[in-house]
Amino acid sequence: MGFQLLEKKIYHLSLSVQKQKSVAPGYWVLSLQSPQISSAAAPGQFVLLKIDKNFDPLLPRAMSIHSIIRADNYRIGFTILYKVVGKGTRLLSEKRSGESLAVLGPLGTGFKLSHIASGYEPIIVGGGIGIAPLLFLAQELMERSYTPTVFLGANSQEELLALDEFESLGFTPKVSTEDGSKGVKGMVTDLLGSYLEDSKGLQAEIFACGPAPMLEKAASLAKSYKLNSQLSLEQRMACGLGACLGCVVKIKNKNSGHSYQRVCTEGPVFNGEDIIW
Amino acid sequence: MVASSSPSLSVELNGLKLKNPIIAASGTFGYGLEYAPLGDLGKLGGIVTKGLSMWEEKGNPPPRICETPAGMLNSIGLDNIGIENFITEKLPQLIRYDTAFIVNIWGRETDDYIKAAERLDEAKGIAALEVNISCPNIKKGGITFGTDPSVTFKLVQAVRKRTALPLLVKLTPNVTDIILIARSAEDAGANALSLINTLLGMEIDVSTRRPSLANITGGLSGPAIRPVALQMVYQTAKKVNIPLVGVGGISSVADVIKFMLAGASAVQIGTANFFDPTICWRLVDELEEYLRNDNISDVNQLVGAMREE
Repeated sequence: MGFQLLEKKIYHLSLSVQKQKSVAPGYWVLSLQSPQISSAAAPGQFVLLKIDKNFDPLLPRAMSIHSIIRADNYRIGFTILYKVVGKGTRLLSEKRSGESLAVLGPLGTGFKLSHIASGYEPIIVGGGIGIAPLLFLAQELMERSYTPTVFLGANSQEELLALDEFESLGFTPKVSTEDGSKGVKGMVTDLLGSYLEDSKGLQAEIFACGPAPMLEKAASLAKSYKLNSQLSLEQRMACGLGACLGCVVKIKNKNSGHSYQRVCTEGPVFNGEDIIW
Repeated sequence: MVASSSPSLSVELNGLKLKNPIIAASGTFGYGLEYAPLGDLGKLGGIVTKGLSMWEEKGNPPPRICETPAGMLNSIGLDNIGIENFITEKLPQLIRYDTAFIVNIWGRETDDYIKAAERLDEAKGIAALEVNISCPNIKKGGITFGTDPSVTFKLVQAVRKRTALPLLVKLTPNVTDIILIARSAEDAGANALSLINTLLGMEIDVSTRRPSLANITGGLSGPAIRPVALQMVYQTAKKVNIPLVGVGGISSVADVIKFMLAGASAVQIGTANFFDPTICWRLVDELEEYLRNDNISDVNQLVGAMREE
């Protein structure tokens, strides 16, 4: 089912699992076949997965689109990279090839790319499971002939996600881990900070996703180097369509004060400068 | 034996005609347009808007929702764009759909409700008003009206005088005796009653020892509350003479039928829209199929038809 309205295509489909692969302890990549959703999707957008037909868990889970699956240059499906954090994601990880899921998407407003001009360097910064939406972004930027600089961070080498996938696209991500087991020991924003310091005057835009403290730091770095930042946020969500107003975050108004904006509709990607932490 | 013609799905709520008894509930379907990408809104019996006030309301700080067993808590805080913006921005887009748009209204004072009713009475394309006297998420207004029979009577009467639109009054379950409130609303001139709104609830995150909602308390909805709602519809149906609209946890066609058997003339689908976003459309088809299979020619034959002996 998919009616077109205001150029917004949203599908509600029953999709069967193509593949479910463990990529690190507690982390999985799920592949779903859907020419419709993958063709309509843009980087930073997400889908809602109703994992179980029963009422516990009741609500679908919001998952960003990790990558697009292609065959002969056609978009035929997409992947989800997720971490098992509770009952819903545990049940999701138990789904095997052939089992089906109700999927709603693509949803939300993703990364804005149309204003990126040649000579601009896109800087991708991912922390932990926040790396999930950034591979699709990197794919898209490459298709548009941009070469982003990629920073990836994690607690440890074991939890460093998607490094091989970025490498197979031809990137050489700059890596940090908190325990020092891979790359530079420390936070990914420390790496970002020294990079920006070393390349002062750089024409760049920062695209980041990760835990809130990381994003807040990325936003403040962007501001001090006078760069734009686009940050993908997370919030508890119910409908995914902008109807329930459950997933709001606090955003600065143009003039003064603040308003609540929906992560599912105005977001999940917001301008770093607009977010009230 | 199969009925030769299509069963009749239309219902009439004491002045409000609906093409079928499936209505999207307030607060779960936005202003209708949010769900338009998923199906033809004109197929639905009706759509109740998000609760609207005479002013723009920011709502409560996040986190505003929290999942619970077979349910969810919300403390949205009546975040809405305001009636003026609704009339200028949403209504012109909505009127192209052939369904009953029911505008849910709320206020902090009686005067807020009166102004809302007067303003909406002038607007074209609105089928009815649903007077929210039961929102648990704002301290003044909402629920404070709906927990006192005489306050309910005065408010509904005041609104009744200001509009010719059919009035649904949405009742809270957070009372000792819902029948007293139902009768007050009926006596004051309500055309129909919607019941129930959410049940007051809360949740605590043990790992942080903090409440799961920024507002601490919220309203419980979803399948978890369905038996409570069903009981209240059943009890109320026996004591009032105006139609009832059953709402609370309805998630399947069997649930729709249960509420009608208990005495509801129509139903509202709420939280189910969140986990099954095309459910309203499917229920229209499934209800028709049920009637056809059971050789029932008119959906109204289900209303209050529970067998008690």
